[in-house]
Amino acid sequence: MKTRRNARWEIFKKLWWGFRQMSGDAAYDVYLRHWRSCGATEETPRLLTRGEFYLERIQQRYRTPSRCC
Amino acid sequence: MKRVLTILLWTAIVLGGVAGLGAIAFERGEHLNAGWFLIAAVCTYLVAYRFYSAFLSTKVFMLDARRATPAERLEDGRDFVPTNKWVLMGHHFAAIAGPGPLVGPTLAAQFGYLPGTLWLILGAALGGCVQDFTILVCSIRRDGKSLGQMAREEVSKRGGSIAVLAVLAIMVILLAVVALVIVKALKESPWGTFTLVMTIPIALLMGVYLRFVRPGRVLEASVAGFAMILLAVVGGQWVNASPSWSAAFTWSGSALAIAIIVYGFAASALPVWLLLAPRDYLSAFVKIVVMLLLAAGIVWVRPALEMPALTRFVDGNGPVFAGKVFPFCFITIACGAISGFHSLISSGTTPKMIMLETHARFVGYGAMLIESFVGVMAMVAACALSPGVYFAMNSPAGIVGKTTEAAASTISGWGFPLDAQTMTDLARRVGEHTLLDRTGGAPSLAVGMAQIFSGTIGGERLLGIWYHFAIMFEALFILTVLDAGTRVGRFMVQDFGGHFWKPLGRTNWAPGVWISSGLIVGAWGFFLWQGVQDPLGGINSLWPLFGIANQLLATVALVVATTIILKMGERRYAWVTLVPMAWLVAVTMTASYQKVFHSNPRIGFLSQVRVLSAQLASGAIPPERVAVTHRMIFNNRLDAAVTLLLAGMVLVLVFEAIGEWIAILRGTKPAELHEAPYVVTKWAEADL
Repeated sequence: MKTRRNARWEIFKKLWWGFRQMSGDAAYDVYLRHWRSCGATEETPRLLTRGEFYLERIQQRYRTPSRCC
Repeated sequence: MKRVLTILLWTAIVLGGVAGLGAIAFERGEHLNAGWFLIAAVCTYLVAYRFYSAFLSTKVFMLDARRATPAERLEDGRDFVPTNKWVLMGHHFAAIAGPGPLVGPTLAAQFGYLPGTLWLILGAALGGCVQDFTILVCSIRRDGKSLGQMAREEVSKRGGSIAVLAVLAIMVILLAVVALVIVKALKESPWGTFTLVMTIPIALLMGVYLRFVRPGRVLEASVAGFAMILLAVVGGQWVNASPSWSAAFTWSGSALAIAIIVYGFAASALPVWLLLAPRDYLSAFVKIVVMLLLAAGIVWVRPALEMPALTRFVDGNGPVFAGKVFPFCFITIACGAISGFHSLISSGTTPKMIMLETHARFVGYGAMLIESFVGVMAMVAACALSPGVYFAMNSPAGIVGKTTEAAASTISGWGFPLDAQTMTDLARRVGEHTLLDRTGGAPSLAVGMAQIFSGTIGGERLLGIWYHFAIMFEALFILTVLDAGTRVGRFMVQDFGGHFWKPLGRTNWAPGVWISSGLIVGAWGFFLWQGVQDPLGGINSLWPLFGIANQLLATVALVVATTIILKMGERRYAWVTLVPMAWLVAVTMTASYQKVFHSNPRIGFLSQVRVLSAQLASGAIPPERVAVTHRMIFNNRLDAAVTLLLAGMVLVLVFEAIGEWIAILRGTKPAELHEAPYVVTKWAEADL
């Protein structure tokens, strides 16, 4: 019974994570995961804060066509 | 046993598709039920995805799950991020689906439901999905390079320049035409205008929240923004009912055009976090909610379509826009069937996020099938209206008359019965002063959607709220396209202008930002103003111009894809892109020729110039209209020049590519591909 509940909870967590990724809400968490596994690189010498990351991302996104007609 | 069941299942799906398409094509008696459209579309999509996309993946491109994608090799946690295929499909769909698949089918409904529906379903399966998929795969194998870069490397340097110029041209015309759609939807509509105006402070609030209060918490800001938008839609009815507030929000077409031009400049020049990004998040959220609602509504209500399969206007004399079903149906419906703009998305962010090469089939081909389904839903919503109402809303006053009585008489004379009282009552029921001369497709689609929504929730009582909800939804994401497009256009102008005057290229130099924003807004603002002043409604000229530009860009994309397939040595499969490309060349060149040279002044720009010039020469134009007439003559000449320029550029590219193909096939030129090196994915063991 408990195992089934746990399995359901895992599915819900996966769906919620997918939904957050789709909406852009989880972008910083993805970045953090990458940072933790790779650390500093030449392009990213220091960890950006959530605010800095958000600003950098949206400035980059609206430089090229990102929304179709 | 399992194999037998699979065969039986797919046989049933094929038979379902044949029955659905057969009903749409041959049923001529009672009003056809929307259920047939859903069956035909879904079954065809399933067959196309299961068999045709599998063929493209395994035989033509030989997608390799062991080959590392740029998301893996260049992973940086920002642009290059390996992403779950379902999540990426959602991203990709949100990026490709704009107002086009809603407005285009609504306008093309003037020919009846048959031509547009067949083009939406079959055009997507054999053309649009193929384009999106092939460009996505080509970009994945080239580290996520853009269409322009691929055209330069794989076809020719000139090809790359043509692709960039085509993108800029399409951007200008696209922004003008979508802005015109908003103007036509909101003019003299205090409820709608109030709702849309309220989206600006809501977006600003969200912007401040996302920047300073809870940085990057997109989901909570979007949910709060959506709730505020709903309040604005409901609150609009009180604005409409109050004489003073109603007067304050009742704007003419010209006033709305000026407001949108000022807004476009502000959105381009202001910091991106303040207005553009939050509006985009809100718009994507609303888009997904409304499309799901519409799909559920159509399945629930299954309305009968009142529009006939074919109308008399296939002959080219349609009031919504002039021109015969061939080629104009196929350029009016671009997004939803095949849209060149998608190739920019397929060679933009998506290839940098794809986890395994084999996911390209699901993401590229699959997302386009869903967009096609959105187009079919729009066609159903438009054709569920009484044809008389549809033509009264979508025909300019210059054709059907300025009063409800005159419009009812003209449209009834065409064989679509309409009494004046019906239009007056409908306008009152949806909370508008009038629904006449609401060209552009958005208002008639909103009435169709409101009827479907109110048939599901709320009934007649909520018709007005649903109508304005639908208008808000369309206007919201049109404004998002306008914001984002103007900003991208600004960067393109800065990139290009920076070659001639260095400071202009600096994106942090305020005068450079203002000048380049002014140039791009001035360009689309000019076409918008032209459309607003046009006595034939503007849509008649601008939408075909947009369709031609968009399909020409699709031609560029398919030329690039064909060249790459030939270079890969897969000449026996080159037809997969060559056939849709040839079709598009036939469609766009015929449409371009007719738009410039056709003898009917409602179709041919130069014929219109001749008619207006003759009227001026004979003194038939009253003195107060002389200046306007001179301007219209100039506008028509400009439209003709733009059409010829676009068609000419693409012809140059096509001929250049044909020369390249012949050289490759004869072996006189080495078939050199510019792919990234093959690296085995670290996920190979886990996923295979």
